[in-house]
Formats: sequence, structure tokens, C-alpha cells
Amino acid sequence: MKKLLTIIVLLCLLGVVRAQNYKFQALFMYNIAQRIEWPNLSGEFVIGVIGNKEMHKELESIAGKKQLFGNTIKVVHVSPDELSDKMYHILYLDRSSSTKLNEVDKSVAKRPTLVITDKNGLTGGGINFIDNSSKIEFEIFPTVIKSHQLQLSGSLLNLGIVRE
Amino acid sequence: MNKVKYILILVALVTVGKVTVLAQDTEKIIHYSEMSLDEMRKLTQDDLLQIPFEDLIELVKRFKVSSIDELYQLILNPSQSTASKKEEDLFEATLATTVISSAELENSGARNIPEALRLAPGIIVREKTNGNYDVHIRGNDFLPPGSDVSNSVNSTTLVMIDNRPVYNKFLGATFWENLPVTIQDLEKIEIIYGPATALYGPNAVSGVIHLITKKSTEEGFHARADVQGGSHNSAIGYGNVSYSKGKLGLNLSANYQQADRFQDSYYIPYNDTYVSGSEIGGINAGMNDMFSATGLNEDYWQGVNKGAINLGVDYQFSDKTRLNYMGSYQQSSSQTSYMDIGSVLSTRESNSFSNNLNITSGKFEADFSAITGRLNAIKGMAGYEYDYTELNGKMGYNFKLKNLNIRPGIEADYAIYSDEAYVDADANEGLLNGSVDLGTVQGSLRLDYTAWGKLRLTGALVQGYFTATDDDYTSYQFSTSYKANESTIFRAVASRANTGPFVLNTYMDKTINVAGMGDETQQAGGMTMYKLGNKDLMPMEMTMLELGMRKKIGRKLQADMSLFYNQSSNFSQMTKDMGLVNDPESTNTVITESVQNIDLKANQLGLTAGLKYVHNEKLNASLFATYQHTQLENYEVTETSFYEGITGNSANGLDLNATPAYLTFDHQYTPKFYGGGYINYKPGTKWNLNTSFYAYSKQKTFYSIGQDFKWVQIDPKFTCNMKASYQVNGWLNTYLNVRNITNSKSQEFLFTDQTGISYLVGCNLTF
Repeated sequence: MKKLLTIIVLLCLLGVVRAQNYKFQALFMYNIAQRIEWPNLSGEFVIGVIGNKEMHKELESIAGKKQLFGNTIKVVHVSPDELSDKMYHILYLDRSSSTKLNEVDKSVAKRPTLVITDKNGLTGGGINFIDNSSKIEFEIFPTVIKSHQLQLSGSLLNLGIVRE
Repeated sequence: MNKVKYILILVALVTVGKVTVLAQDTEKIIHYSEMSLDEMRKLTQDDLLQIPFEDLIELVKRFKVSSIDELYQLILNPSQSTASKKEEDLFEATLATTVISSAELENSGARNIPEALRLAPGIIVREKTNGNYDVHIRGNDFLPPGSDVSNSVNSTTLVMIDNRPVYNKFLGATFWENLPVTIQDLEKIEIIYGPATALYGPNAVSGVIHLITKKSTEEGFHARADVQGGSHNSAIGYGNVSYSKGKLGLNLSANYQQADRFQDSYYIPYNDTYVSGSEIGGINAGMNDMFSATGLNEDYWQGVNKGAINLGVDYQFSDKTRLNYMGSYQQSSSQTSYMDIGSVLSTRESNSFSNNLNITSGKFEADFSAITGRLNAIKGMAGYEYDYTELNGKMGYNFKLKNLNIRPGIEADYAIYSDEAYVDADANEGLLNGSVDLGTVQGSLRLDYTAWGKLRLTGALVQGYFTATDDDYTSYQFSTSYKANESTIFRAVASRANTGPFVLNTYMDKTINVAGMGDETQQAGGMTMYKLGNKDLMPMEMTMLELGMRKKIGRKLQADMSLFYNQSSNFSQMTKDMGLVNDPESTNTVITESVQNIDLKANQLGLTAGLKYVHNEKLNASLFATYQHTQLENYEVTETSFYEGITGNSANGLDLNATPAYLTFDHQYTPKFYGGGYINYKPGTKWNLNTSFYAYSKQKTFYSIGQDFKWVQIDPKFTCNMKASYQVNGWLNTYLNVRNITNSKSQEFLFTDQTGISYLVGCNLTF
């Protein structure tokens, strides 16, 4: 019975743990942020990471080297239940946190926040990464993004897969 | 004035040059589309932050696709050099060849090298006791059948570490626990199947297993430790420190493994019963007065206990000239089957110090090795302990005339074995009762011709001489391949090879005295038995024909098939010498036996098929199986019970002593089916999950208890293993390693333990 349990647990893990390529995804996020018009941008550009520590580390490394529109980049680790008090320009949900997308959407509704997830096919966020073995693509939801008072550049729409 | 003019011109040239260089620097354009995978890997985050988003997307795509192409190459078509003595892709090899990479070795969780050989097709691997294995390429094992268990060792496969032969010349077998290297030391294992004496010298009869160690090439200091422990008091440790700077590389590694047996009890074939471990010394001593009862009682629970330390030095003199040295010391004690002494299991102890030097200089290659050591084949039994020294040297030169590669080579080895330090040689207490030596000298020529880029013809011939038996030998290997297209290659091999003479079958000089039943002054009815080697013995020989095909099916799948037929002959066994007559004055019976060639032949027809699949960087898998039929002919039977047992017919009316029967029957101790595979899944940067499995069909042989004939059957077995590892951070990896996860508890080898499940938990630290 113990053996069976071990096998079941390990097989479950196979389904849960999926490929991540945070190094490139973080670079993609920095480039995406450059191609969006952010209203009332002053002070810090805040990126909130829900879940993954690796992504947090990669973004922090970029923050140490780059600015966005003359603002320093601040990367913070957050949980979905502490979103209501503070302003985040980008909120990143890793794959294991994707079930909390609705909760996140409610907390940041009507704020100038871009929600990026790591799971393709999700609806509610502004951008979903599609990270497979041969490339990284991203689904882009212009309507959702505009509802957060953000303006997309035409070039960004050309680079992503536009979903309505 | 002239001087000033020259200085001005020089200054002007330097200035122009500098400006040009600066201009080139400022105008430096990185062509991402032309970057190699290595160049892309070297891009830092700073570099990547400078790249426009459009280019970054393309770069990532190129990087990911190139990484997969590299992965396809590494897994499906790695490079190897054992099949043709030169580095080339596996796909091109004209011989049946398998490569197990270091990643496959470590991901599998195999605890030691013989267990890892279950990852390769065409190899029968049976666990005897916890951590101790029998390894046979394509079988043909335990021949002649029904003889002593000592004939079940594999004396037909050449095992090498970096070109150093490591088989023991006493019996011709490789004692795996005596190897100083372990899984983590290996860069890869290359295996070639079939006779290859023409390439590698005596003993490459059923094939070659070549263990190739890692060399320290990464600049600076690096360290690694890997420890795991678990059930049956298992403890496995590995440590390595390496340093490389410029032309020099140093590598110091140490390994340790210990595990208890799966059971404390012993099987006694003579009584067909199991007895407890604490009784075994007494039982064996009761059957043979050469045995000390305390010998086995000291460690009857032990499976294996071994450790080794290796020092490697690599020095690159120039682009063409390189030197590798490895010095090793090992010590081991393992409980394994060796000889029927009451129990079949006994403890084998050894320690040895070995040196190996490989020199490559342009087209010239040379290998020199020396080992000195001590081995006690049966702890607690007098007469089975000996010292030995072996030397081996070989040189070859590769040169090319248009499409023809020519490689002349010479090889020589010399071995001294002595039991003088452990027995009273004058009283003939030992197996050798003195010091004996063996030597081999051989010259070889290999030709390798490629026509029209598609047809390849290779031929290798060897002419050798055995100093101990004063015999010449000749062997050959012809192979050809035809590349129908870039994804299909057909190949054919015809080869013949032989073993060498071994110490025991050449020089055995054993005396067994059995006291008579009378009083001390008149022991009438006693018996003296002489068991002798034979310098005229012909070494065992195999001839093989093989057809094969490799096929790339798309980018992700590669198939490999081999259809083989081989015939083995010149087997030998202890035979009663009918020429000697007892001294009529003596009250003792004198029996003299010597090792003699027998007429037995083994014919084997089989098919091995393997598939390797790489889905992406996360998932790859391997599946392989062999189906073969082994038939024996000319098996001499002089005993009625044997005749009736093997044939199932009555021997009434037959006088087998006067007219022996020569029987033909299936050799079922080599299983008809065996195979395995693995699935490796790496879902992200953190986890790696590996499942491997191995199976074989029924094995059956017979055994004699006195004059009685007895069938022994080993049931089919399926073994599944799993290793799940998690990369905690940049330097720490933890893992769970479960061997025989279904706890399929049964014997795998004649009269040995019922091997079961093992759990291990471990961690790997890399700095």
C-alpha cells in the first residue's frame, strides 16, 4: 500500500510541476512593460510576484540594472489576499497560482495593473505566457488591458497572439 | 631624419589601426541568427537586456530549438569510440553498439555499475545478493551446464576502464565490486556486442563493456558530494574534488558502498533447505574440512562493503598531445556465489592498487596499466587467497590514405599470480602452491574503407601468442555498413574471438585428502584427489554472424536492431583422467582430474531491438528487448540420471559409461527473453523523475547432488525502479531512490538470495 501511495504521489507531482523558463519570461515581461503606456507613472514601477521565487529573483536582477520610463523597478513577493492596499503595475501569477486569478482580478479591478499569468487559455488576465519546448509566446487580451486604463503599442499586438 | 620619418609612419599606422579597431567595436553588430548554441548560452542577462524585443523572441526560439537538437544528438546519437577505435557517432558504428551517458546513469538511480547495465539492451543482469550482480552479454552462461557454480562466472566479456582491462586472470571473470570507479566517476559506458578480440585482445568474446571516466576540464576548483542511505543498512557515498587550470587537470574522487543482504538465511543445495546465517559456518565446515566455521559466521548478513579512492591527472601538452593518468586504490568485501562449498554464497575480499596511463599524440595512441593486489575468493576457506600483479600495454597508430583508414597495433600483457604467502605450498595446501605467470603478445591490423560516402568496409585481423600455453591464436572481425540514406543504415558483421588461458585452468594444482576409516596407524580406504590445470587447453572461442539496422524515424525516434547467430566451442571442465592407474601398493584410492576441452557447442540465434525517443527537453524514453534461442549440442552424458533427466527417456539398455550419449537440447539458463527501458521526465528546472524497468523470462538448468540429477528453475521477473530528485538551489539536490519498487521478491541467480525492494534517500551537493 505504501508503495502504491508513493507512486500515486509522484505521478500527481508530474501533473502539477510544469516547465518554467523564468529567465526568458522575466526578460519578456520587461520588454512588454516598455510597450505599454502607464497612466500617472511616477516614483517606483512595482512588480508583484505571486508564487514563484525564481521569477522574483530574475526580475530583481533586471531591476538592479534597468529602469522603466525613468522609474526604478521594485519587485515584491505578494499573496492574493494582500493586494487591496497597494498599487502594483504588473502582477505575475505563476502556474500554481492560476486558480487565484479571479480573486486577483477582483482586487485590482479598474486599477492600472497588468495581470500576467503563466498558463495559456486563462481568461481574466491581460497576458498569458505560452512557454513550450520550442518557443515562448504570449496571449494578449487588449480589451482586458484597456479596461485597466492601459494603452498597448501596436508593435506589442503584432508580437503576441491577440485574444478577444 | 629617416628615423623620425619611420617613427611618424609607425605612429600613423598604429593610430589608424586603433581607430579602425575602435570603429569596428562601436559598429559591432551581433548577428543573433548566426549564433551557435554555445554562443547563445554565453549571453548574460545584460546582453539579453540590450536586445530588441523582436530579436529576443527569435533568439529564444532559436535557443530552444538548438537546445533540443543538441539533446536529440546527445540521447539518440552520442559519440563513441569503442566500436571502431576512433571517435564517431553511434549511428555510424558498424558493430552493434550502445552508449549509456552520465545523465542516463545518474538519473536512473543505479547504485553501482553492474546495476546500471540494465539500461543497455542485450545484457543479462541478475542480482545475486544486495549490491552484487552477475552480468552476461547475450548469455551463453553457466556452460557446461550442471557443472560447479564457479563455471557460472562471466569469463567471456572484456571490461575496461579507460582502455585498462579489469577482468581477473585467475578465472577470467570481472569482479564488479573490485572496480575502483563508480557511477558518478563515469562520463559514459560504451558497449559493443560480439567477438572483438581483433580490436581489444583476449576475452572480448561476447563483447566489450568500456567504462570511460570523466576528466576535469572545467577551469578552477570544483567539488561534489553525493550521499544516500536507506533500507538494509544501505549507505552509498561519493566525493570528488577537481581542479583545472590551463593545460593541467586534477581529479580526486572517493566512493564507498555498503549494504546488508536481503535475508540472513542460506540455501544449501545439497540438502535443498534454507538454514540460518549463524549456522552456515558450521554446516560448511562439516562438508569440507578446509573451511573455518568462523569464516562466514563473522559477516553472514553482509551484502557488500567496498570503498575506493582515485586520483586522475590530465595534461594537455598541445592541441595534439594529451596524457591521462589514473591511480586507484580499492578495498572490497562482498558476499556472492563463487563455488558450491555447502552454501553457494561466500565472502570475497580484495584490495588492489592500479595505475593507468593513456597517451594520445596526433595519430598515435598508447595505453599502459599496472595493478597489484590481493584477492581472497572464499573467506574462511584455506587455499583460495592469492596475490597478483598484472601489466598491460598497447599502442596503435591511425593513418589515412584517401578513404582508407589503417591502424596497426601491438598489445602485450603479463600477469603473475601467487598463493605462496597464504598456504603451505610444500604440503600442496593451495590451488597453485607457488607463483605462476601468464603472458600474451599480439599484433593487429585494422582497415576501414569508405566508398562513395555510403558503403563502409572494415576488417581487423590479429595474430597472437600465449606464453603460458605456448600457443598461437588468430582472430578476425569483418564488418560492413551501407548508408541507404541519412536516416537508414544497414550493417553486417562476421567475427571470431577467443578467451585467453586463465590461471586456474592452466596451473591448478590442488590436492584433496580424505582420511580413511581405519585407526591412526592404518587408515585404509582413504582417498587422495588431484585436481590439475592443463597447459594444452584450447581457449574458449566464439564465431558470430550479425545483421543490423539503425533507423532514424523523424527527429525524435531512433530504432536499432541486431539479428545475431553465434557458435561457441572449446568449453572445458574437470575430467577424470582415465590414463592414470592407482598404485596397487597403496591402500588409498587416488583420483586425478584435470581440466580438459569438451565437445560441447552452444549455438545461439537472437534478435535485439531497441527504441530511443526524445519528446522534448522534458521527456525522453528508451525501450529494448532481446529474444534468443540457445541450443547446446554434443553434451556428453555418462550418468544414467543425467540422461533420463535431460531427455525424459529411460536409459535402460544403454551403457553410458562405455558409450557416452551426446545430447542436443535447449540451454534454458540463458533466458529466451530479456529487456527493459526507462522514462525520464524533467518537468522544469527543479524536478527530475525517472522510472526504469527490467525483465527476463524463465531460466532453468540442472544440477547434480552426488549422482542425483535435479532441475532448478528461476521464475520470470519484472523489476521496476524509480528515482525522484529535486534541485533545491544551485548547489543542493535531494532525491528518493527506490529499487525494485514492486518488491518482486525472488531469486535472480542460481542458489542466491531472494532480492527485494530497497529504499534510499540522498542528496547531492555541487560546488
